[in-house]
Amino acid sequence: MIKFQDVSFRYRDTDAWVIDSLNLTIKENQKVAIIGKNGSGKSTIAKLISGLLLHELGHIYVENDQLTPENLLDIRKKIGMVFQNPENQFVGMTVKEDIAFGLENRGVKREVMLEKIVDILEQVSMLEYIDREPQHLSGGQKQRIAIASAMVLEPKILILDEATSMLDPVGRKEMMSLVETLHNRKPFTLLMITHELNEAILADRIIVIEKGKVVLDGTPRELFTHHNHALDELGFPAPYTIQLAKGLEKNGFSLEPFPLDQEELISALWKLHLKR
Amino acid sequence: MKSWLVIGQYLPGNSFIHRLDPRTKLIIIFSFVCVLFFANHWTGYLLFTTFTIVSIVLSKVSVPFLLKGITPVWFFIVLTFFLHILITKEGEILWELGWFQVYEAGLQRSIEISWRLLILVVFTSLLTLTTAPMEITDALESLLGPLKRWNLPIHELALMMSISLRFIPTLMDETERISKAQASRGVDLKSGTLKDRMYAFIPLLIPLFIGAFKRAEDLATAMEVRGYQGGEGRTKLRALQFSNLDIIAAIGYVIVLILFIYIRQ
Amino acid sequence: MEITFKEVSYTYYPNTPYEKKALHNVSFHIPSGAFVVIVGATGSGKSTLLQHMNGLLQPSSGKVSIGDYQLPITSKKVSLKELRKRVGIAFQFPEHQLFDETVREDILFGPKNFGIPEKDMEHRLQEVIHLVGLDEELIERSPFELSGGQMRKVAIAGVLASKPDVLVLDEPTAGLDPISRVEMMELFSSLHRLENITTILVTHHMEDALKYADYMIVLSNGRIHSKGKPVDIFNNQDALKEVQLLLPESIDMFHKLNQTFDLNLSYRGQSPFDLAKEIISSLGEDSS
Repeated sequence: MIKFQDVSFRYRDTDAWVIDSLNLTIKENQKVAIIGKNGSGKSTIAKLISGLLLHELGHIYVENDQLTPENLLDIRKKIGMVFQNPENQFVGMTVKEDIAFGLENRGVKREVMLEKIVDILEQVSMLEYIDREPQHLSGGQKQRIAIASAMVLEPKILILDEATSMLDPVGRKEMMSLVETLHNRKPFTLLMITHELNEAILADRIIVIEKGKVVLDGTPRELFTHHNHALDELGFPAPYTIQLAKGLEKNGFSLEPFPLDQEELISALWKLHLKR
Repeated sequence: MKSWLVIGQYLPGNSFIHRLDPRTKLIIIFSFVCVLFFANHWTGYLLFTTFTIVSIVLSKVSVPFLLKGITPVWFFIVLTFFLHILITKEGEILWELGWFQVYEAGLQRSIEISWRLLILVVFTSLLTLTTAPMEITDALESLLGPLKRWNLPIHELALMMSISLRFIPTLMDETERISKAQASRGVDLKSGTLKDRMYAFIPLLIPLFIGAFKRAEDLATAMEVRGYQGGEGRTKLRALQFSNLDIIAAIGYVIVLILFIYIRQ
Repeated sequence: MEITFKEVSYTYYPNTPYEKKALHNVSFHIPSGAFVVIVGATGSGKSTLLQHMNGLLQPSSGKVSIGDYQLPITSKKVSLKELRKRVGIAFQFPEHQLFDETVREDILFGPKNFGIPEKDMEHRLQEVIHLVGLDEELIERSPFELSGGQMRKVAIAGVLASKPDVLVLDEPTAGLDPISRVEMMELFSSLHRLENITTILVTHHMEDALKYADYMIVLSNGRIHSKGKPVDIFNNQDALKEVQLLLPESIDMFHKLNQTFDLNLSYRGQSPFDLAKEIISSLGEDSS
């Protein structure tokens, strides 16, 4: 559970608020996408939750504990984060060592460590790369390792801070399906910070941030059914499939429920086709 | 992609020398280099040369590769040789050309000193060829560990060293990328006066530094998030462990030392 | 300027244990004024190919001609500088190449190196900052004070300021948000149309390939897998799967609709709204 209560943040006293009296509650094990344009403050939210930046006003609760400078280290133990640049978060000389880094910091015994590393690498399907060096991995593979390095510490919350933005489309797709698989296997609260609507659709809930405030909040279906125009205005034109569904609606077809992907659109059309 | 250019050129392998604990290797090499300077007779040199040759054979590193690796040092060895010929004026004159005279003692000393230097270089490159940089770091951290008592930041230094090693390939790629980008904007690093060329480096250096700072910042954040709080209470995945091989190596080395002391007397 | 590759191969670190052949007998022709997209999975040789276009790399075998220039360079009279002035390359994340004290200096760095007369500089600066949509107030600021998006614009402006005849773009929109991405692609598209700049774009955005390119080259493992009009290549969907590329969402939708409902829709760049109409009418015919 994550809760923001009237939270405000700015870098310097003289600057404008980057996060402006933000209120937000994210339930346990929910998959939430936070979207917003570059500079909207969306990444700042991730850094506030993990205490990498300290908020100036309001209260932040993580798993019912209020975040303060004193308990920051304990709170951070509940959070795993994956950042944008695959290269810059790879600490170890090899895959094995990189995953070990967090475990080493927690004083985990060596034998236990090795077991955990093998186990998590199996989960992210990277076991054969266990002794590889980062320069021999693709960006997508490095991000999988970054996920493994975070998840091996068994966090309650996983934050992906624009983690796919430097990957190619295949790498992105693979990473999203990996996160999905991990979540299905053993749920955790997932926070994806992104500007890709295609990825946000996979979440249970999309929150749109603009100038440090929540401007839209709802399930993907709600947003595309009722706030499509607003999304467009905020700089997030709907994916092609959804535009097509909207086009069908405008031409007098009512699609129930409103389709979010190709499969849903085709099956909705199929039903109509049969009715005729 | 360019990581093979990195100095040290670790050659992964499974030889006797490769499998030794890096601490054993460091201690032997360090002390051997010191002992080397006590050689005062050709028998001593013969002993050390034999020890070196045995080590090379045990490491299974190919000799041409080893010699190629020390190419940059040849110049110094040759320079040392001639320097000593020039400055030592003792014993009989063996050969003369105008003011240039080669004395017997001069020739002897030149050969001794350059030979010593060669053994030294071969030995140290044997260390880097058979030991991964990370192992060397770990060994240093472990050997210098006792200094922590005097508040010397040994863990931090070792961590810094390992992170630098980790980022060498990354930074080499980045250097290449940026120099290509600037070449596309008309920068020419290969021609012009020395001054022009110095100036041409600025567009390369500044982005490199800025990039490195950004990386350092990102890395620090990533480390912090994964709970890094310094060396206290940390366990280690890479554990150094002495094995029987190390005992064999130590015994072999001690025998060489005893023989040497015997010869000197 | 037209560009011709004739059986070009390139090998990294030849005769070492690290030898790697990155291009194999690549041949193609790009007519002057074309908009060409090069696609391929990571490691397919796109970047090696691009670097031949301004002589950063010279072919191990084969010939590259760019306008009047020939690679490998055989005559001493031809300078690479001249070629690089006429072929502008914006590498991936070009903002990483910024270095100068002010935005102005950085943008004019290329033109200065290429010997553009001082009197033309101010005019060029004004021209390019308006093209990329940079605020005039920013030109005296340090480029490092700007936001990521603005830095990208400064870097692109720096490439445009030399007025190249050929513009080579390596994933220029990577990491941008959707709106900035569209703006940047529109900029390149209009430059191409208005100034007739030969444009070569490497991208992973298949929608952009479909929308902007007249010609597409698909690379796979250093070889040309296919070349032709984007629509034609995308319609052969099985071929793209083998080179690990995703179809544009729109074309993919067409294929799925055609398969499921046994229709005959074809992509002509119609809007989703128009497509919806087509679907309704063809589904209607079907049931009558």
